[in-house]
Amino acid sequence: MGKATRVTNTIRTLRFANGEMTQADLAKRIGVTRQTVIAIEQGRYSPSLEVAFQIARVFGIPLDDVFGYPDAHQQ
Amino acid sequence: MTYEEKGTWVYLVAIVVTFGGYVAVLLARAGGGPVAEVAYVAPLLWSLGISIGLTVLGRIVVEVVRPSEGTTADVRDQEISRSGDYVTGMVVSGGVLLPLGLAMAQADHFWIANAIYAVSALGAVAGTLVRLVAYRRGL
Repeated sequence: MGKATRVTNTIRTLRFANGEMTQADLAKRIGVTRQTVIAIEQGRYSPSLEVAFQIARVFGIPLDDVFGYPDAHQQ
Repeated sequence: MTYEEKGTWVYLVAIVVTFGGYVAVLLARAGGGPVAEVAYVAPLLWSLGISIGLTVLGRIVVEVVRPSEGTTADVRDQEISRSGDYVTGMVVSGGVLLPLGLAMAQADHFWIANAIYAVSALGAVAGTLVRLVAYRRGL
């Protein structure tokens, strides 16, 4: 299954670093379905800016530490 | 699978089954003769009614068999839905030229009505397929 977005993220790592938070827990805290969290983690869905900020807030870190975007020369 | 994705599958099946059933009924009634002479109004209305009923009943059955974690559409569901609606709109707005052309050519009501139904069904199928691909492969 190909990735639909070039936006990368460290959500999976962050979840485990934060008391092995489940996808369902994270989904509940940001008001989306568990399937949406899965899609974001797998790079199949690029979240809205609002959802991205909500995710960063859950982990208490800046947006840049959760999401990344490769430079042009890295394409 | 989210509640909305299940609903999309149910909708797709309902459209395909009812439109396919409608065409089958018309062809059976025609019995090899001219299909335009078949009484199409009642089967068409039944087809529309059954598709609505099937969609509602299908969603209930699917939720009973495989309950969803929630029934609220989230931001991803809404974006996927918009993508599907966009494609449906494109297909229908382009396809409407067919019944329009038939009407201008003073074709039989049968062909005009069925062209509208076919274009609507095609648009709905295209939109639901786009949604399902977006759910599976990403948006």
